[in-house]
Amino acid sequence: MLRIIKETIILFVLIILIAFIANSVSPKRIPYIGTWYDNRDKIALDKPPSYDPDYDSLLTMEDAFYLWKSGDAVFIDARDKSEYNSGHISGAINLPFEHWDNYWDYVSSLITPQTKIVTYCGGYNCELSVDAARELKVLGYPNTYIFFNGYDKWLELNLPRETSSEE
Amino acid sequence: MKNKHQNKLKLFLTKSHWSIFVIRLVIGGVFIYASIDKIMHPDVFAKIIHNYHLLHPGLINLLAITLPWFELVCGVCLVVGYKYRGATLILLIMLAVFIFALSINYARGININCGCFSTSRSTRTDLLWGIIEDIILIAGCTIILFKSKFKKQENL
Repeated sequence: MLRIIKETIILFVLIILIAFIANSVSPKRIPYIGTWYDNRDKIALDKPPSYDPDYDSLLTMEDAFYLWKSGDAVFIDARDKSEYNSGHISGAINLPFEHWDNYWDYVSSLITPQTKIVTYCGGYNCELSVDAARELKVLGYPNTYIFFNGYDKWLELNLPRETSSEE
Repeated sequence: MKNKHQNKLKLFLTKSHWSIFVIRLVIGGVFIYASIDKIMHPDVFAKIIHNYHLLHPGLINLLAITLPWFELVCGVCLVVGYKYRGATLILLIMLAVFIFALSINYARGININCGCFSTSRSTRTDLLWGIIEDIILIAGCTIILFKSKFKKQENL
């Protein structure tokens, strides 16, 4: 047992050293102390974990519904294709953030820089809608809004949804 | 001399030796695989840790930097057999922590990217399945530790 503990301590120190050296020479290095806000007691807050009030425009359920009903906005589902196919907000188009390049040509043909865009995904900690909205803003679509946890809220209120079949 | 070699070969080919070797190979392989994507994307992995809502902000990056290397080095130790019992003990402790973190968020009912094997931001992750996987890995690690202890007693 003593030998196992000795091995564990040696490995522990060795690994910490390797990790620190690797991070210091890696092109993808990150600071040792990050600038995260403390979210340990903020489970109930309905905001994305990485929410930036200066940059992200969040929509309330009511605003999202109004935009959807008026047809003034294009709804973009940022989830994977399989999730989109199994159910999405009626009229929404799929732009999986993880496979952006495969979908962008088609999606960009449907929107202009003036288009109001609403991005959504599902689940309290799904940040695909946030990532997609930020990317769209960078690409020159300033009227992009985040409907955070949108699909779950939509489901909860049993609002119009549709499914798609696999291509 | 020939007899000595034959005995060694016999020991090497014993069922228990092979089963432990295979378990080491599988668990080591799983951890090596799990570590690669996290080492490649420490920033995304840090975000996943932040989403767990469990850690003090000052510790998030430190964990994102070190944890994947613990997985990789311990995985390699298990595969090549170098200090593999120490590596197994580290993995056991890590798995217990993983189960704790996953269980808390499963109980909270929040939907997070587990970050278990990849930093890919898929929306839905079955946390329960993650817990089951970790329990299976714990069982494997426990067998490695107990069997290696048993072998030592046998040698005495």
